[in-house]
Formats: sequence, C-alpha cells, structure tokens
Amino acid sequence: MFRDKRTRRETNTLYHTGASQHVRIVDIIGGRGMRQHLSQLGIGIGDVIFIKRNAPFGGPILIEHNGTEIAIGRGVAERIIVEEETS
Amino acid sequence: MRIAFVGQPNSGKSTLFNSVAGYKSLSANFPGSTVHYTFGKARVGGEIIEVVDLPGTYSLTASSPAESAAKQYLLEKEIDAVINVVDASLLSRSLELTLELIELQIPLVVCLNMIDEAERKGIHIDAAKLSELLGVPVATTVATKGVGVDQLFYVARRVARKRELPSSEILGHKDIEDVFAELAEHINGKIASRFPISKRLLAIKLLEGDEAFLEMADEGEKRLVAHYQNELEKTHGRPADMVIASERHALAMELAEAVSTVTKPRRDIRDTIDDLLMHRVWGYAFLFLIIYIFFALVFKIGALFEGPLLKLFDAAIATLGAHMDQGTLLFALLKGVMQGVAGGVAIVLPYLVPFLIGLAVLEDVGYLPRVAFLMDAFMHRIGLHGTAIVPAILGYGCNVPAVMATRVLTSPRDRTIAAVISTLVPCSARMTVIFGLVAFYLGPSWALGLYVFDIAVIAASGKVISLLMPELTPGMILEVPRYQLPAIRSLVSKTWLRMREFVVVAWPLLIIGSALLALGEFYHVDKIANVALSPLTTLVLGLPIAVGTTLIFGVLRKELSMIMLIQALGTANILSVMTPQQVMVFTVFVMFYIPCVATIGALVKEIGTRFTLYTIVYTFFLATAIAAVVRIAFTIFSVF
Repeated sequence: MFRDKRTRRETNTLYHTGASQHVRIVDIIGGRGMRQHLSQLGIGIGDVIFIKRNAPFGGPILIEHNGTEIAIGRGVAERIIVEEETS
Repeated sequence: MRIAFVGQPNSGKSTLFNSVAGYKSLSANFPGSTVHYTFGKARVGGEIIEVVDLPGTYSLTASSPAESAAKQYLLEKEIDAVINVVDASLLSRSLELTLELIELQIPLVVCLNMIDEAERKGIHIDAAKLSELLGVPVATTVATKGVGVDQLFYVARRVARKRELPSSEILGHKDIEDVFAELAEHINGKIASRFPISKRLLAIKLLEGDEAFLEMADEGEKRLVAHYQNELEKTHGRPADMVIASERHALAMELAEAVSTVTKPRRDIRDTIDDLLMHRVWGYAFLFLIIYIFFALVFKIGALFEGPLLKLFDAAIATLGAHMDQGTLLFALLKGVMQGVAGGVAIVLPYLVPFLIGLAVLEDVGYLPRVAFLMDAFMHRIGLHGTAIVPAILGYGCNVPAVMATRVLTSPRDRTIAAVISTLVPCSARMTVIFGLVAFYLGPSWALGLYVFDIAVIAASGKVISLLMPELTPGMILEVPRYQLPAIRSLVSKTWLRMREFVVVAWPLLIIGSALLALGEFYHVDKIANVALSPLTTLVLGLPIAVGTTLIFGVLRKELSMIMLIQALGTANILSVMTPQQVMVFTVFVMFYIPCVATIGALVKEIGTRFTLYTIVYTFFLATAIAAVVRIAFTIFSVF
C-alpha cells in the first residue's frame, strides 16, 4: 500500500494545510501514545484523509477517514506531516 | 453462563446491552461513556445469562483507564463467550480490535451493528464472507430497533456452550510473523502463567511495549523483547509498535475491502446541520443559542411548577398548625418532615426533571463532541484541551459522573485538572439552589449572570492549577460521531437513572435531615452548631446565624442547604427574612464550597486522597473569598 518510487511532492503539517483537501499522511512525529491513539481510530501513515474543516483561533482540525470523523487538536495536527493528494 | 460485550467506543454496545438486560447501562453519543463494567441478567430461550458490558476500547493496547479496564477484564475474568460489537459503517477500523480478540482464542461472535447506517453510507457488507474469512460467526443487528438481537444471542449461546473457538489464523507478512514466532518460543516465565493467552499474543503485546505485560516479564525476556524490537525497527525503519500497528491496520483494511462493496453515499441532512453547527462563526452562535434555550426552558418549566407547589405546601403546613398544638414535639417533627417533602417536590423536581431530559437529549444526539471541537482553542487557554469539556458539561447534571468521565482523558495531569474544575461546575442540585433562590426571588437574569460568572471562575481555576502542574499535554484526538435521533427509551432510562439518585438517596436524607433539624431546634441543639459556624456565616458572609446548620447539610447534598434553609428560617418566603444581597451571598457560597460527599468519593477514586484534600481546601477558601467579595461589592455599589 505504500508507493515507494515517486517524485517528492511538497509536504506540510496537517495544521498548516487548508480545509476541503485530500491529503496523504507521510509521517507522524509524535510520542508512542499519540501514534497509538491515532492508529486506534484507524489512522496511520500512508492513509489518505480528507480535511473537512478547521476551527478558528488556533482550534482543531476535523478530518474524515473511512467514514469516521475525528477532531485533532492543533498540537497533534502540527506533528502530522501530510502531502497533497491530487486524485 | 457469562457473556461479555466488547466493542469500540460508540459502537452501540450499551444500547445492545440495555435491550437485553433492562436499563442498567448508560449509553451516550460520545466515546468513553461507559467507564466501568455493568452487569445484567438476560433471559435467552428460557436460560438466564449473565451479561457484562465492558468499557468501549479501540484496541487491547490500552491508552486510557477506560480501555485498560476492558483489557484487564478480558484477560483475567472467566468469560464463556465474547460478543464483539462492531459499527458496520466503520468496518475497517473496527476489525483491528476484532483481530486482537481472535488472537485471544476465546469463543467469539462478531455482531455487525448499525447495519442500516452502513447501508445509508453506501457500504454493503457480505456477512457470510466476513464470517468465513474471520473464522467466527457473524450476526447483523440494528440494536436501536432491536433487529437481529435474538439471533445474535442464539448464536452466542451456542458458541459459548460448545466452546467454539475462532477457526482461522489470520497472519501478516512472513518476516513479522517469524519474529512473533521466535519470541513466542522463548516466553516461559511467570508471565506465561499469569496471562492464560496464546504465546503468540504475548509476544505481540511485549513487542508493542505494553506496560501491563512488560512488568511481568523477567530480565531475560525483556532483553529478548528489546532485541526483536530492534530487529523490527531496523528492517522496517519504524519503531516496533508502529510496525505491528500498521500491519494490523493493513490486514483489517484488506479484510474490510474484501467483504464490502461501496456505492455512493447518500448525502443527508446531517451533513448540512454540521456545516452550520460546526461553522467557524455560526457554530459559536448556535452553541450559545442552544445553551441559552436549554437553560431558559429549564427555568420556564421549573418556575411554572415551583410557585404553585410551594403555596400548596405552605397552606398544608398552616392547616396542620391550625389543628394541632404548635408547642409539641410531634408538631415540630411533622412540620420538619413536611418541609422536607415540600423541598423535594416543589423546588428540586420541577427543575431537575426538565434539566436531565435536556442533557440526555444533547448527549444522545451527539452534540457534546462538537462542543469539544468548538471549544478546544478556548480550553487550551486554561491549560487543557477540547476533550475535557465533555466531563465539564456532564458536571452540569451531576459532578459524580463528571469526575468519572475524566477517564476519557489520557494524561493523568489532564484528568486531575479536569476533575477539580468539574467540581466547580454547578450541578443540577446547585442549579435548583440557583434557580429556586436567585432566579425565583431576584430574577432569571441574576441566575444567568451567576452561570457566566461560574465559567469565569472555572477558567481562572483551570489556569491557576495548570500553572501549578506545568506539563505539555498531547492534545485532542476525539472521534466525532454522526448525529443520531435520540431513542425515547434511552432518554427515559437515562433521566430516570440520574433522577433515582435524588429520589432514592437524597430525598430520604432530606426528609430525615429536616426532621433532625426540627428536632434539634426543639431541643435547641442547632444553636450550638450555628454559633460554632457564626464566625464564617455572620462575620465574614453577613448571613443570618441560622444558616450555619444548612451549610453542614449541604455537604451531604447540595440541594439540602437550600431546603434546610427553608426549614431553618421557618418560612418558604425567603425574602421575608433575608435581604436580596444575603440570598446572593448564600447562593454564591453554596455554588463553590466543598464538593458533596458523593463527589468526594468519586474524586478519591479518580485522583487520589491527596488531590481530593487539596480540592476540598481549595473550594472552601475559594467559596469564602468569592462570597465575601460579592458581599462587599454589593454593599459598595448598593446593588439591591
């Protein structure tokens, strides 16, 4: 499920990506607890997620993945590295 | 026969449990609402079965206490079968837990719940094929409508009786499986006898770095675990736990894809509602509107009943007085008991019932996680994150479930802060004091003002405590479930469950308390207590000396302090003996001082004795300080 050979696209943190976009998670820079919590909700590296909305004042990001909606706080979102998915 | 329900949060476990075992388990539309197990008995085909509802858990790798409670139970208790409740519309994610349960090698049935919701989302699942691939029976249900529940239990009973174990082995990539197998061969120590599960699962748990297992391993095993962890990390370029997690993730995804066909989902009205309620600007407007309407309705409905009912009881007491010798002990006792009954019927129930129904609706609809989303940024200002708002909101109902709900938070520091500030949330008992005294005698806008003021105090307290406990919190990761139409049965049972607390526990206390106070008055014992407390009540707060005893009763149950106030002052018309300013000072003090006995009990359990003591001392001084400031401010600006 991982595409190994491909041209590098621009990466960004989930927090700094605008709403209404499909992105692919390329890395999760965080402690074990955070990674596990995300993986329990069915979110891991390589997954394509949809950024549904973001809250103002440095608030959380709402993402959708496989029919689940998950609110992700800023601190966590800043540690999820994503790249734009053009499909 | 004992059957346990296991499932991810919000999979409909508790709903299913309730439909077979009567209404004993609280369900709510947010993750982690079941924080301890609930037992029940169900009659299936003429046989009584013991059913256990375990806390929702995403996986057997626990990250919050609610989850480790479920894990603990599965590993240690005798269970004849497990029903794995799966939200069919979230199949891929849910199967990750199912895969772990299969590893446990216990009789298992997979229950594909909310199959109607999945169809609506355009996900069609081939249950027979899933059953074949997993090697366990699969039943489909719609728990909210009771569809398929009988069949599910029929299968579960069969599986339990014949001890049918999962029949297929679902393996991942060879290199990873080899590591599992090699490590499994070397596990022999006390850990193997401690946990009666397969060696392979033990190996997986150890490699994942699960604390509960690691601490049982001996030195040699720990060294081996570290060795294989390194190997996995070297070959896959990621920590071992991540390798295992993504392996399971991929397996679950493959399985889900193999059994489901996806068609275009029907966009329904709920998406439009979310566009409004979670909007960057309108979301907040709606939040305030919803809360305003909520409290306005509770007040309107409550006030409708309070006035007439109070008159009725006052008249009854007057009639009694006219027909009896007022100097006798019997009269004093009867009057005390009647005032106790009056307090419950006329002042508490009119506000409590609509409030609890409203809170149950908000919970079941699924609005609370949306509030967490909207308020996350604000909660960060006070050193917490959005998830902590869920216990805080529950606190408006009762502080006890609020303190217990702090378990949804993963960091101990967050739990402590959330628990402490939850006790500052005016629960429904204190709401009856605020509404019954301040709103009723001084006007609803004063009551609203108190609520706003309370939020400011909570914010300030949160800030102060988080400065005292500086630590980076991991931040919010919270599932936001779909809106659901609340089921009437669930609303009724939830309201009743919470109200029963009052009717069964508080009311008798209240009547006995009233009688005791009347008795004390008759023999002038209350005077001693009142004099002892008078430095606080009269000197600092400027209240009538008679309120002393009421504050003692208030520690038992908050609403007692108001009802006993009526008893202590000897009239239900408070304004004839207290000034508006005194009513305000009294209410403010009652709002913040010392959590009630039940809350103290919950605090001890959740955050320990030391922090509970801190909380008691803190709230007492906070209440005294704020009430004194209110007194001085109102005098200076001569408000009333």
